[in-house]
Amino acid sequence: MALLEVRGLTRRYGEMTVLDGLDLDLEAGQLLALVGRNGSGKSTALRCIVGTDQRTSGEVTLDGRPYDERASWVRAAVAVVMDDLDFFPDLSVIEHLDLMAAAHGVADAEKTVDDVLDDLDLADQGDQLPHSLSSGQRRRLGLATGLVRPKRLLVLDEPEARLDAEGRAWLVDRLRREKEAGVAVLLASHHPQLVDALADHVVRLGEPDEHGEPGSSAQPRGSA
Amino acid sequence: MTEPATAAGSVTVRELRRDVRGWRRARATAPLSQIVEDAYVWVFSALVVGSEVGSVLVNLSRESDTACTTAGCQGARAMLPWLVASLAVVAVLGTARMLGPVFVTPAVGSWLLTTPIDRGGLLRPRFLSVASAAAVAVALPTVAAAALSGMAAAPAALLVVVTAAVGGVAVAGAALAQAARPSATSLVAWLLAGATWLALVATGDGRPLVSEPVHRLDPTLWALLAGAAVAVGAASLLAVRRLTSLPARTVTPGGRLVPAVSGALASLDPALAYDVVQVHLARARGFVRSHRGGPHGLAAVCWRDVTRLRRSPRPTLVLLAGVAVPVAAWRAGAGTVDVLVAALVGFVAGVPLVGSLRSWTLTPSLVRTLPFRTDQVLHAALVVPACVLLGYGLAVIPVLHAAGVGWSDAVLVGPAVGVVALTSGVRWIAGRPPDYSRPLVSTPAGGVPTNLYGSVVRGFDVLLLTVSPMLISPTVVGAWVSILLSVVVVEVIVRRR
Repeated sequence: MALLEVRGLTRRYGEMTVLDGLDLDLEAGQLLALVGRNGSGKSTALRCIVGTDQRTSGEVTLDGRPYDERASWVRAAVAVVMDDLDFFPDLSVIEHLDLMAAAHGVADAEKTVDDVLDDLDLADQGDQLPHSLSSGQRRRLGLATGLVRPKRLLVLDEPEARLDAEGRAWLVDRLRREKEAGVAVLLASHHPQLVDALADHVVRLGEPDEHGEPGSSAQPRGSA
Repeated sequence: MTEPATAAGSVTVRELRRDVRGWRRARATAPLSQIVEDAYVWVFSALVVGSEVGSVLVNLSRESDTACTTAGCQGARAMLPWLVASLAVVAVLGTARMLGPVFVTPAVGSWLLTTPIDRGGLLRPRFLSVASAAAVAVALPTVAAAALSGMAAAPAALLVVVTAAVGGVAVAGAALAQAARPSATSLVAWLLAGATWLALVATGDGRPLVSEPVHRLDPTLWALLAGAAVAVGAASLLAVRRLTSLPARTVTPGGRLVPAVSGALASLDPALAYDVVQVHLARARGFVRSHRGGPHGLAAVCWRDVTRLRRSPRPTLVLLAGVAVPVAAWRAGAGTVDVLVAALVGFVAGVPLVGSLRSWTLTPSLVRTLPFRTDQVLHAALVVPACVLLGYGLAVIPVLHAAGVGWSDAVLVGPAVGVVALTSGVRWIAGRPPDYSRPLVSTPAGGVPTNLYGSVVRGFDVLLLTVSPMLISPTVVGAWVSILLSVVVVEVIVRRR
């Protein structure tokens, strides 16, 4: 049984169909990439899967149980890094990550946080308040919140956005390590190198089906 | 290659302003009749509201004349305008520090401050507008307080003029400090706030600085007026001369803050305005010294509030200093209404304590990052504020006893006041904002959400609801009913999230 199963996921806004019967299976230690043009429904698919957007129809299960983002077992198992993450105005970068690690019961929280800050080149910004960070630094802090904590599924929406070439290379390496640690990764990406290097499955969204409606085509890439 | 044309000296600020005014007039879409009609509505509304408020103040003042007979009450009443004026100046200084006080809109910052036109001339009207607004902001509450204090009309008018001038001086002083030492404005504000608090404590202790309302124009008031006039003239002159050298970085942040706060207030959502200010302050501060360590699990959420209080003890200190208000109210003869006064102070001063609850409720994405249910996180975010407000409740027990609540009742009524204050703060900070996605009610001002007007009194509604049992019966029974109501309200708010 796959860790994450999506069956017939559909999202309509009025007359407009953005997702039409999307099916996905994701095993532990695998990476599934959603690709497609802007507006093809990648972020909508992720939001519907993790429950931050209303599904018109379809089912999502995690470990065979219905995926309910309100349940604490889901929150403990799934790290979601989207663009909508906000921050406490009066807590520093380090304090945000300490809170995340401590709340998830990470044994050596301070060392874990320091390592992630080093990895993300945010060590010098540790005492900075999030609203004074640049947009790229805030993006990396968002990534850090997903990396500093234990998880079984990591969901990322265009994690390469606003990262420089060095940052993207680091991201590839880091996601490879997450996979090796048995974490399933579901991401939406515009970055072909990242997808080529890591994806076990690629799902193209926005490809027209035989009726000319927006659909999806799944392409397994061998290593599954 | 030709030299680029040098614009310096080719256009003055006056000419530029005239041009901009001309462009805007050319695009005016409202006919003159509409403008006159709007102006009439504004003036008429101001007159109606003003006369209503004036009538209330006069009636209250007459009732106070007959009811306020003890020396303590008369002393507190006489001190009222001085305390209110002083607090208004503190508020003006705080706002001036936050805004600049001289500020320009982002568009002016981008398009005009980058040109070689005379910066002093550009900023002068803005400085004068802010100084005038500050004078009005100080004068209005002073007028009300002077009317309530039983002051005679002539000295009251003189006092209002003096305090308005002091408001202007405060802004001019803040403008002088804007570039080089903006923290000086905060220092002056804190010193004045401290002095006001000491005067309040002295009033509560039965030793007011002014023991009876001023009935005639004595030389002290004339001397104050002369001093204020000299100060406002000198400070304004110096500030205007300093405007030319104000760096753009000091005048643009305030220009971004003002429209954001105005927008929040225009939508009658004061909590949103609070958020905007908090983000502005965090952006201005930039760095803090991180505190590390602490417990794991859900306790980590509480620990962040401890970190927050250690870093910024001001809200706790202000809350504890606020005990002086119910003390002064008791001295003024408030009786058991002091329960309401104590709860109101706890609510208003306690709002910053529940700031983390605001972040948790406003950004569901933040809660979803933690391995707990939303209600568990929100409950954890209440633990530290609840402890501090219970401490405040314990501190007001002796005051409530002095105000007429028996000892055996006061030991529960005091903590219940803390619980009521917490509940009101939770309602203010975490209550649902006006929701424009719901069905709208048709009004002459257009479609408005059904909960729009209620959001103005958010917090105060729950305060009145939960404190009422103790006002009706300031006993153990009344306190338990208040606590029960508070628990129900908090649970409804937290679980709806």
